[in-house]
Amino acid sequence: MNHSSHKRMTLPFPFALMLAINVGFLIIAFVIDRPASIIEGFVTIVTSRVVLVTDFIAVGGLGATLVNVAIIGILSVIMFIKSGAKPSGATIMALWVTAGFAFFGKNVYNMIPLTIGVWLFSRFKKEPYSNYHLASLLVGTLSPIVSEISFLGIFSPPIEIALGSLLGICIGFIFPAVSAHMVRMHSGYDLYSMGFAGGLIAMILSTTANSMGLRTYPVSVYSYGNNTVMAIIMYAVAATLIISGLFTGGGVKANLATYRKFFSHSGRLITDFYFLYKNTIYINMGLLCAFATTVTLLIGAELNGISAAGIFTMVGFGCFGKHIKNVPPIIIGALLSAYLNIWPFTSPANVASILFAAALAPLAGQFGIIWGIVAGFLHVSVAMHVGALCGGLNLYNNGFAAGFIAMILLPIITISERMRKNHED
Amino acid sequence: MKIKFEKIMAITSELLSYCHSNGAKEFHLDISESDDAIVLTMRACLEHMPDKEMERLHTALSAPRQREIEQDYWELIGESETHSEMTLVGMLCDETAVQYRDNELSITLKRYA
Repeated sequence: MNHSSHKRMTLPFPFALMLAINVGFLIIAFVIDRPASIIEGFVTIVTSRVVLVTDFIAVGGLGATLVNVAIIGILSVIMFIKSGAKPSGATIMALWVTAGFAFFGKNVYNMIPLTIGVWLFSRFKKEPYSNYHLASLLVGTLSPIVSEISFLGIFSPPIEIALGSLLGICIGFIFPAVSAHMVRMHSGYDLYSMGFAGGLIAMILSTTANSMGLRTYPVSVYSYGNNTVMAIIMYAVAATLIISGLFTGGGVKANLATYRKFFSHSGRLITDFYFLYKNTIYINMGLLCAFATTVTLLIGAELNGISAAGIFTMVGFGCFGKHIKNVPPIIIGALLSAYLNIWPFTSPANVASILFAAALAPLAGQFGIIWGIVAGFLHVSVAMHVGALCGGLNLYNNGFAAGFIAMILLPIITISERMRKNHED
Repeated sequence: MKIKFEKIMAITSELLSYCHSNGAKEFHLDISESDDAIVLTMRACLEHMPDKEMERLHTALSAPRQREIEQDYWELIGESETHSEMTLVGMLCDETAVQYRDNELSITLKRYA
């Protein structure tokens, strides 16, 4: 008699929710746009140069962009499931950030060579690929390099695609080692640490290329006029997350009590809220989503691909360091800086710098509101300039800028705090 | 079989730093390496260890091993400014045990290859 047993595999809730949200994006795409125009827009997105700042909504339309986000999001989840990754603050964060940057910069094509490079590095180190999950998703910060070379328009397409892919594989190969080493430089106060590593690599590549006469120029391709649809999408995501956080586990009252514990954390790397508080993270992530969307709308800015990426990044780090108490001081400083600087207050670049300034939230969490405001203020100024330094080749440009701010501010804060303590004693 | 000793040194530095910042003046460290694991035990003489701190330490060290985190963030260990590093220590270890008895804090960590 044969006994057959079926091993039942249950999908962890964070992965299931991420899949559901991305399927939701697919459905919305086909509701708001025609299939023919989505396909055409999607092809344009995949084959376009994506140097900063190229808003995919402007390039291929909102429907095609949502399909790109959904495909990247679903593939990332599948990659985690297939390789046996368990949900953690870091993995959930990586999924949201990757999906967010599929609004501008990342596409199915330019992610592949970079991921292969990271996989080759894991083979070289004789370690499981699962050890490099984060790097294999977040290496996408350098995805503009792959597209830039692949669709240069100087040589024949096969040669350019081969060159772009080869360079992407090489970059993917070195990225894990470089990024692991960079965290010490900002002592974990720049949440977008991979962006700092990516910025340094992009800066070296860009300046080398410039020296050889191959110049890359940042561009400004932004979409306009989608605020109503985008606001509905963002608030729907926020509501889904908050409901998921409130009604899972121990019930609403217990979950709200647990949520208050978030505020006792500075948010400095590594603060894994998922390990600490399980599905309560979704209350935090949902509130951050609603907060970032509301700030964008209140200042009268556009909800375009770049601000959507900023909002998704805010959501992602809602389980890995950010909370509704350490983010606002940074945003206040960033708003003040954007108001006073030479660029229009609601220019897309200013808005992006405001939203992504929250990379420095741990500074506010650890050292208080005033230092948070200072960090946010300085961040916008630096972020507005470092993009050119990298030739627009680093997607997480704000992570690069935030790294410098953390490196400079930390010793100043430390000295100042010591002086204050001595004075009090 | 490959156990990276540089990570053990970083963990040791973190534990020393943690115990020192909590008032320890005397430390005892045992490290034993076998084919597939390293066991690290630190004992520190501490006159007082508040229950709340003990609970926080236990929570931090009971973080499950997260190899994908390890690769990208292990270099943050060793600064002991906040509890986040002790959580990271937990994420680098497979088994942990913490005990405070007779003015002695004992931390035992086991890390497989």
